[in-house]
Amino acid sequence: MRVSAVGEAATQLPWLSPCAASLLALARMPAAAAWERLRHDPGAVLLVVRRVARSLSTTAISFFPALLREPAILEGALRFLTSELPESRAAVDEAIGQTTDSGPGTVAGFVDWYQPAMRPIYHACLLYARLAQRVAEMTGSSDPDNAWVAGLLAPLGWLAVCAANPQSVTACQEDAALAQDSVGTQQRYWGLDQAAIARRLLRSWQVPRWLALVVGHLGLPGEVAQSLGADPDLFHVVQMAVGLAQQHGQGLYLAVGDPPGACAAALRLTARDQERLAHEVAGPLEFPEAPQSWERPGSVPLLRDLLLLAAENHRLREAPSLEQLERDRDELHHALERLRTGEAERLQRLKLQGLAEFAAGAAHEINNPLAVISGQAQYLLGHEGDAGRQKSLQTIIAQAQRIHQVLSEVMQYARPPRPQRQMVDVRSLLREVTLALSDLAVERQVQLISPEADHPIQLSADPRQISTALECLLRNAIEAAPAGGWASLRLEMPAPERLDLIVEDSGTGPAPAQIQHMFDPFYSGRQAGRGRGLGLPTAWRLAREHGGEVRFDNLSGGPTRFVLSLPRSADNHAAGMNGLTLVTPERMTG
Amino acid sequence: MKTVFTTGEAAKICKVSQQTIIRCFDNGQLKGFRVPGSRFRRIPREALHKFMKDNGIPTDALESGKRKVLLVDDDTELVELMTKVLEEDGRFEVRVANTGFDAGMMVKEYRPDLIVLDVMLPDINGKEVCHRVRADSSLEDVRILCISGMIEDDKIQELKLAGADHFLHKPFDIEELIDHMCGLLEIEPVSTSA
Repeated sequence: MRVSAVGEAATQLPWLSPCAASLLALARMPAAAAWERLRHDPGAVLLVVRRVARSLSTTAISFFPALLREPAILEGALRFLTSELPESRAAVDEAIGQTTDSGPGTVAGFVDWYQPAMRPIYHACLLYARLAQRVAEMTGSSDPDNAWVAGLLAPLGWLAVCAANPQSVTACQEDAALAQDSVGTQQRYWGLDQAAIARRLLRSWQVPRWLALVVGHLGLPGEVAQSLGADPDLFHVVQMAVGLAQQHGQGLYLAVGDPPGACAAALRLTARDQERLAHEVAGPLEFPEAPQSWERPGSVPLLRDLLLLAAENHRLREAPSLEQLERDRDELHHALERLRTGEAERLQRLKLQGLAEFAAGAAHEINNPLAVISGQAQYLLGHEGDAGRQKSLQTIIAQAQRIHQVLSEVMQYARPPRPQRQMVDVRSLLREVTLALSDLAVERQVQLISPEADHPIQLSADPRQISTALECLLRNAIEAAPAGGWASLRLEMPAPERLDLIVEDSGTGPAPAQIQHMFDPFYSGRQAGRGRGLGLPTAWRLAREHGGEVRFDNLSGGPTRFVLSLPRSADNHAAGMNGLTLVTPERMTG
Repeated sequence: MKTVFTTGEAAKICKVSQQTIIRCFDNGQLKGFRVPGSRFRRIPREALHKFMKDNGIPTDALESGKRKVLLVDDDTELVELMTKVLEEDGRFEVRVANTGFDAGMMVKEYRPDLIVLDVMLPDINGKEVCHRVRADSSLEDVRILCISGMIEDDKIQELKLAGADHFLHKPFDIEELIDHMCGLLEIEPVSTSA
């Protein structure tokens, strides 16, 4: 086999198969006991992580054992057998009750981790997993099960090469150069290094994001991985585990971006903790008990029937009554949600109407005396020769103007003019806004990042209002970023008819208590720097006038992110019309 | 002080059409002379003054040579200030009304060149005052400059449709106000007091 072909073959693996014993455990054991068995099998762990992630929308999975009762897991297991024994596919489809193949299509990669040549690799996996779990338990920063999973799969590239070409694994692992230059040595043997293989597989296997971001970027410093979206705690836990093993001459020499010292500092590990961890590395590593050999699931004839039976039992036991109950509950849940959002909308609308009335009245009452104050000051200024008094009078005039400006902004928030829509190239808006705020960024020593798309992106919107909204968000980002930090503005299209304008900064995000008030005008509980005045509320309001929204994405540990999300055409706007235009129902139907 | 007027200038001062002035000049009611070597009519100040007195036309515009401004606002402090500023400027003759009703009465009697009109009056809305002025064809030369502390753009649009020539937000820059007044009255926007 060519050198480069080894890595390539590894990246083409459709999946990594669990062993027969793991699937047996899944079919027969109670969930908690099954997890004890499954967690030592990289293929089974991948199966659980991926299946569960599909049925849940959580960013991280905690308490794996409980999740093993998910029918998706059992169905996923059946799919493995299908790929091993193609003739049983129809029966499996029938049992699962679906025909779309969401699992791996061809025979998955299988490794007998107990054969002597594979033992060192497997040993490293278990060591990483155990250390990561211990660090997570000590610091309390991450879920220990999550840490175990991320540690076990940290050398995913190695695991894949084991399945694709075992000989080249042994050769690479025994090469003395590996300890000095792991990436170069791997590239010499496989054409790709282990992390590159891992990243390709994480994507093609659709491994959930929380895990993929950690395993795929171990070679990066924590700060960078965090900016990509990785959970900083879990990331450091795994880096710490890998780094510790390396320090004691163990493991597979995976590239890690932060040395153990830096990870320990980030995780606030005490010297005593680190000592205890060192013992852990040196101590003996137990292999899981049970089977003498690691068997291919397809080679156990009755396994398929057992799984089918388990799936059927599962349905019979829980399906009819539970399903109806679940459906009822869902219905109630949705009804409640509709009611709540409807009510929230109505209250919001009333609040805005009230504020608009108030602001219009207040503007008149305040601007009239302001005109007298400013006018008298202007009159005196015209007759004043003394420079000091001239300056005082100019300040009075400027401050009167400032009050007027605040009133105008309140009015824009409370009752913005109807958007004058036209087709605009969003890039020109982004350029304009970035340019307008570049001086502020320089003054605050904040780096302003705004990558430009290479083709025009059309949007039906009021360019002045969207510019204002973007300027509010970017100004907020620049003002919240620390000196030497950064603020960025970029666009994404999550769907063809939607456009997301994403504003991020390196400042600390709002405290949890402040999040719900962030879009309230003049909310006084904000921390210094972020969201003063009417910036965020105005951006939110103008977005709503366009049928879009401004939301705060709470990326724990990541950059602070606000997203201005807009429909690209006015038609989409009509479908999700809200704001004051909703007040007259006949407009919706007519 | 200006001593000789063209027929156009005389028409503006008397608030009648230029045709009327020419007719009265030609039939001898309004005395004057023709520029030597051409047929252009010229009217000396005294002749115009006599003509206005004879025909019951108020002569104050001629006497001061200043443009007539009617300030309409219920805020007496602001009105006092603006009166002071405009009088010191020297190019304007100022009268004041504090309500929409007074404004209506004074427009007829005083026949101003320009009304500076606050939109929110205690009795009649500024928009209504605009409508009434514009409904009277004898007042079509009167310019209207609205001022207000309200902010909404669509309301400003309504005012313009009702006949306002211009709008300024309160608080305003006094120089800017005078510039706009000069613009509407077609006077050179250079302060004479300077």
